[in-house]
Amino acid sequence: MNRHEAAQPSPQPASDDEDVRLVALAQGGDRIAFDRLVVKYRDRIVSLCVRTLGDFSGGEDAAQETFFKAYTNVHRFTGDAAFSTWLYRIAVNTCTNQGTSWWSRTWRAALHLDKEIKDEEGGARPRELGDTSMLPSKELERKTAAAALKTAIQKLPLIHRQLVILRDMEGKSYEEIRVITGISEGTVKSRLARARAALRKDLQGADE
Amino acid sequence: MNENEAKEMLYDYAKNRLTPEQAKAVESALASSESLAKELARIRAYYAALDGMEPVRASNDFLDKVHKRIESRTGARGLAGLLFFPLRVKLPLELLGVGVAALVVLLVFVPRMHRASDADRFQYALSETPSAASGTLLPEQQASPAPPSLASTRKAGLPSRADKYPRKMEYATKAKRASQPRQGSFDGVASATAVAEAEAEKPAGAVGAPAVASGKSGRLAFADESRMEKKAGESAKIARETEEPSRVNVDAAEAPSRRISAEYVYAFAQNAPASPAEAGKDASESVRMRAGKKMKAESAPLSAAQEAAPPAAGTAEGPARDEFLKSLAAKFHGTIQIADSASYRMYTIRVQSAFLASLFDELRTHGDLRLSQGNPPLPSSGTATVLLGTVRR
Repeated sequence: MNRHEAAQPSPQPASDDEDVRLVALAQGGDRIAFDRLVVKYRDRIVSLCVRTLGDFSGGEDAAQETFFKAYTNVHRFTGDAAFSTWLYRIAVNTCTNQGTSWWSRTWRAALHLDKEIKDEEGGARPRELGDTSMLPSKELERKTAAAALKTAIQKLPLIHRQLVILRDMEGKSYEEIRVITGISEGTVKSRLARARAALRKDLQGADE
Repeated sequence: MNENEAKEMLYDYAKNRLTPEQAKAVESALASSESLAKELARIRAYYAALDGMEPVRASNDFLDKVHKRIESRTGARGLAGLLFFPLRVKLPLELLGVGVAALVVLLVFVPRMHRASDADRFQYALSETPSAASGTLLPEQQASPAPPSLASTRKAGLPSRADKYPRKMEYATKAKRASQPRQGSFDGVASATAVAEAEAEKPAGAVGAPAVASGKSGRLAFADESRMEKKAGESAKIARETEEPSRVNVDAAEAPSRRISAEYVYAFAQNAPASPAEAGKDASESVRMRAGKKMKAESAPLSAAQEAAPPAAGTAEGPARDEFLKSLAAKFHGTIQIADSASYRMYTIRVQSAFLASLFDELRTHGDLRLSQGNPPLPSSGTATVLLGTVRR
C-alpha cells in the first residue's frame, strides 16, 4: 500500500447537503440558489485564480468566467464529485487557458507587479511589499518571507504553481487534486515534489 | 522507516495530515536525524510564509459582475458573445479563418474562373457568326428558318446580357457589324476601318481581341473537345426532355470575340463517324457551318457506332494530330497555322479554294468533318482558310 494513501483523508463526500440542495435548485433555473453558491465559493475561487495568474484583475476575471461557465453548465453537474471540486476544476482549466494564452503572457510580461524592484541601497525587494517602516520586526520578517515566497511561486511553471496552491495553500487531498487537474495521483506527487524543490532552491538563493 | 521516506512525509507531518502511526514513525526518524529536523524547520517556515501571505478576497461587486456576464452572454446578446467573446481569443481566430478562406478562394477558385473565362473566349471566338439580327441568310436558310435557339428560349423574360453589360454589348455589336460580308461573297477580309473603330471603342473589361471575324467565318458549337462532349450530352438531355432539336447556340452578339478569319470551320471531335453513311446522318444534326451566313450549331448524342468507333486520325491527340494536319497541308499545297494561347491551341489551314472539296472529303474520311446540310457552295477561285478547331493544350 502506498504510504501516502493512509495519510490521505478519505475523499470528500460527493457534496455537502447544502450544496446538493442549492445545485438542484440552480439546475431548475433558480438564480438565487446559484447566487448563494457564488457567494459561498467566490473568495476561494478568486484566491485560486489570482494566485495562479499572479494579478488581481486577471484572476478575478477568470473567477467570473468560472462562475459563468458553472452557471451555463450546471445542468451537466452529476454529483460524482463535490460541487466545490467541480468548481475548482473549471477554475483551474479557465486559468490554464488564460495563463497560457499569448495575450496573458504578453500582458504579464509588460506589467508584472511581482517583479522585484531595487531599493536605494541596491537591494532587491518585492514590488508589492509597500511601506514596511512601521511594521514590527517579526511582522516585517513574515511579510518579507511571504512576499519572497509569492514571487518564487509565480516563477514556477503554471501546472506546478497550481499544484502548490491546491495542495499547500488550499489543503486539497491528492485525490481531489487528481479530479481537479485530471492528472494521475503519482504525477501529482512527483510534480509537487519538483515544485517544492524549485521553491526551496529559489528561496535559498534569495536568502544568500 | 528510512530517512528518505521520512523526508517525503515531512510536509504532511508539518500539516498534521498523517495517521498517528505514521506520525510516530516520522518522529522517531526525526529524533535520530539532525538533517531531518532541519528540513522540518524549513518546511514549517515555508508553511508559515504561506500563511503570512495576504488573503485574497473577491471584490464587493463580484456577484454583480457575474450577473452582468451571464446576462451579456445569454439570449440574443449571448449569440454575439458566443461568436466574438472573449474578444482576444475569438477575434484573432476569426480573422485567421477569414484570411484562410480568402487564400483558398485566391488559390483555388480564381484560377478556375480564369480557366473558364479563357474557355469561354474561345467558344465565343468560334461562334463568331453574324447574329440573327444582323446576319444575312442564304435563300434556302430564309426559306426554312431555324427554330429559335434554346439559349434564347431559356432567356425569354430574363434580362439579357446586353442589359447587364451595355458597353460590352455595344462594342461587340459594332465589331460584328464591321465584320458583315456582302451576301454571297467569299472574300473574308474585314473592313479595316471598322476594325480600327472596334479596337478604339473596346471597353476596358472586354476580353480578347476585337471581333474581326470575316464574313466567312463559321460557327463551331464547342470550343474544345471536353466541352464539346459535355455540352453534347447536356443538349441531348434537354432535347429529349423538350422534344425539340437540341442546339448549343452561343450568340455571337453576347461577347467580344477573338480575331478569326476562317471561311470554314472543321470541328475536332473525340469520336468520328464510323462510316460515310453515319457521317451523313450525323451531319444533319451536328455542327453546321457556312461561311459568312447565318449559322446554326446543333449537336446530338453520339450514336453507338460513333462511340464504338476508334478515334480517326484527325482526332488523334497531340503530335499525331499535328502530323496528320501537316500531311494534309502538304497534300493540298496549303499551310497549317497553329496559334497557341495559354490554355488552347487553334489550328487553321489555308488552301487554294480549288482544293476545298477534296480537303473536306479527306477530313470526312479521316477526321470528323461536320458541315451543314449538304455541301455548302464552295468558291472556285482564290484561297480559303478553314478553321479546323481548337483543342485544350
